[in-house]
Amino acid sequence: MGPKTRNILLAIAEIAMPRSDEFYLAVEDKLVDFVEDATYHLTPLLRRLFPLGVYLFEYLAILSSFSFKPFTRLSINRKKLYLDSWVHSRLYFKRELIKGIKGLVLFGYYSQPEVWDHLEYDPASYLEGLRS
Amino acid sequence: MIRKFEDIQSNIREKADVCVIGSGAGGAVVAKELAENGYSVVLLEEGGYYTSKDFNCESFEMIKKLYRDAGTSMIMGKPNIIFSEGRCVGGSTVINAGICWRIPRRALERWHWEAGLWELTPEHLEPYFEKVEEFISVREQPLETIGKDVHLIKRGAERLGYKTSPVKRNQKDCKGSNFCIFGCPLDAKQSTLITYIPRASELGTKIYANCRADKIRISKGRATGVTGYFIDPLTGNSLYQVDVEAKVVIVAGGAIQTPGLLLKNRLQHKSRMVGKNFLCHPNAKAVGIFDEDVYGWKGTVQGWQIHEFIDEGIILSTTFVPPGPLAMSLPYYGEQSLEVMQDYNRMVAAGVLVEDTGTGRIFLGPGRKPIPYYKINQHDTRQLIRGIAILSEIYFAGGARSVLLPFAQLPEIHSREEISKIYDMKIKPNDIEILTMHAMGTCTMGANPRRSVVDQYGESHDYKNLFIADASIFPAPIGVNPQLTIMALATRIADYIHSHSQSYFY
Repeated sequence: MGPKTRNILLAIAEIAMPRSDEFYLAVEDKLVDFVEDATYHLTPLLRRLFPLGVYLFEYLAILSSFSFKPFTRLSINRKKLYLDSWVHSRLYFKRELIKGIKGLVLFGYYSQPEVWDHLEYDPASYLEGLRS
Repeated sequence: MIRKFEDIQSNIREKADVCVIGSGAGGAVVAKELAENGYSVVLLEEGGYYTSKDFNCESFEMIKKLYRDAGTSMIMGKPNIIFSEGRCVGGSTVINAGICWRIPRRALERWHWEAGLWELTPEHLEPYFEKVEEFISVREQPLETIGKDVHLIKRGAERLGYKTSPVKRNQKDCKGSNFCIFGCPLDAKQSTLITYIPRASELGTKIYANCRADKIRISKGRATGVTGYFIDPLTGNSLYQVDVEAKVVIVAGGAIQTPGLLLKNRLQHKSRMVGKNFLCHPNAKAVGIFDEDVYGWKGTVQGWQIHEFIDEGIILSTTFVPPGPLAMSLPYYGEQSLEVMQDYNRMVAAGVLVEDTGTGRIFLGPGRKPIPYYKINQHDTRQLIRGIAILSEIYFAGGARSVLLPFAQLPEIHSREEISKIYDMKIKPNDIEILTMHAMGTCTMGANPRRSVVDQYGESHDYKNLFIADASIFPAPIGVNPQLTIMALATRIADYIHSHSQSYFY
C-alpha cells in the first residue's frame, strides 16, 4: 500500500476509531497495518479496487460542500461530518465503500487485547476452562 | 496421506480410479465412500490443511486461514451480499455452525415436480441420511451447552407462543465453546476434517491441499482427468503442477467454484444451465440488547431454532460472533461505536434465513474467476423484513431494551411499538445488510438434459464419467441448512458409481 493511501487510512482511523472519555487506545497506526494486511487477503478484484475507493473518498471531499479540500486536509469536525455523510448517504455505493473501509478499521480495533479486556471478553480463559 | 504446499518439491503425476475436487460436505464424503469400496482416490483441495491445534481465539487469523478471500467474498447484486465460504481441508464444514437438517418433504416434492426427481423421496433417502448421521454423530444439542443468549430468545419466542426446538448438530461432547465458525478447537464439531477426511486418508486416498484444480480433461465426451496447481498460501503464486489421470472425475467445489471451473473449461452443457439457478438462502441479523448479563460468547453458536414460520420459508436462529465481526457490521463508529459495544456482554445476536424464490447466476469475470450475481426479489425482501420484525418482537418479549437492525435507514429501535417503523420505512433491498453461507443450485440436477446439468445421480448429462457432488446440484432451494442433504446425496452418488462400476472402471 502506498504512503498516500496509508495517510488517508490513518486519517479515517483517527475519526472512526472508537473512543470514550474513560477509554482511549492510541492504536491508529496498528489499525492501518491491520487494514493493509486485510486487503492482501481480499478477492483480487476488491484488492485492486480498494485503493481506488480510498482515493475516491479522499478527493470527493473537494466536490462536497465541506470546504473544497481533500479529506485529509479537513479539520477534525469537518472530517467527522464528511465521514458521517458517507455512512448515512442515500447513495448505495457510498455506503458500501465506507462500510468496507470503516468496517476493517473497527474489526482491527475490536481485535486488540486491551479492548477485549475493556469489554470483558476473554475467550481464551473460557476455552481453557472448557478443556479442563 | 495429506500433503500440503510445503511438502511438494516437484510436479506430481497421479493415476487413480477417481479424482475428487473439493474436500467439504460433498467431496470428502464421495472420497471416503469410494475408498471404502476399494477404489483408488486422489482428492484435490484448494485450501490449506489446518487442525484443531491451529484453531484459536484470534478471529481474523482464523478467517484468513479458513475462509475464501478472508471472508470478503461478495455476491454482486442489489444489494451486494456477503458470502462466507470455507477454503481449507474440510471446506465449509469446518466453519459452519454444524446444523443438520434432512431436506424437508415439501422441498423434495418441489424437486419431483420441477426436476423430475421422482426417486428422491424421504423414504428412498432415509438409509443415506442414517449412514451420514451415524458417521458424523448428528444429535440434539445438549441443554447444558446452550448459552444464556439462547435461553433469552427461547423465553421471548415462548411468551409469544412460537414453536422452537433445539437444533441437531454434528457434534460429540460439545462443550459450547462458541468457536464453531473459526474451527472447533475441541474437535467436538464433527466436520469432514475430522471424520471423512481421516477415514479416506486411512484407506489410501491421496489428499493434496493448497492445490487448485484448473483443468478438467475431456476426451471423446468422457472425463479423463484433472490438472491442478499448488498455490503458495503466503504469496498466492502457483508453483508445481499436479496431473491426475482418472477414470471418474467428481467436482465438489461448491455452488460458485464448481460452475466456475466448468465454465472456465468451456464445459457449458447443451442445457446452458451451468451457472444459472443460483440460490443463496439470504439472511440478515439483528442484535437485542438486554439489561441483564448474557455473555453470548459462552455457549454453542447456534443451539436453537424457531420453526414457527418454516412453512413460510423463514427460520430464526441465534448466532453469536466476536466483537470485531459484530462491530464491523454495525453502522456506528467513533464514540457511538464504543458506547454500543460496551453492552457486548448484554447482547443477543440472531439471524433470519429466508428460502429464496428468486435466482441469480455465476459468470466468469476478470482472470476467468467465477463471479456470483444475485438480485433479491420483492417477495424475498419482504420476507427478510418480516423475519427481522418477528425477531425484534421476540427480543422485546424476552426482555430486550433495544434492538439493532440491519437496515441502513433504521439502525435501531427501542420498544415493541417501534417495530411498526420497520414496515413504515419502505425499506428497499439496498438498505438491508444481507449475508449468506448457503450457495446452491448452479449445476442443477434433473431428469431432462435440456433443463439440467446432471442426472439424478450427479452425472453430467453431456460428459460421461464427470460427476458433481455438492450443493450446486440442488434444483430448488431447501429452506434449511444444506450440509446434511449434501452429504446424503454425495453418499448416494458414490453408491451409484460403485454399483455401476462396470460402466466406469472396466
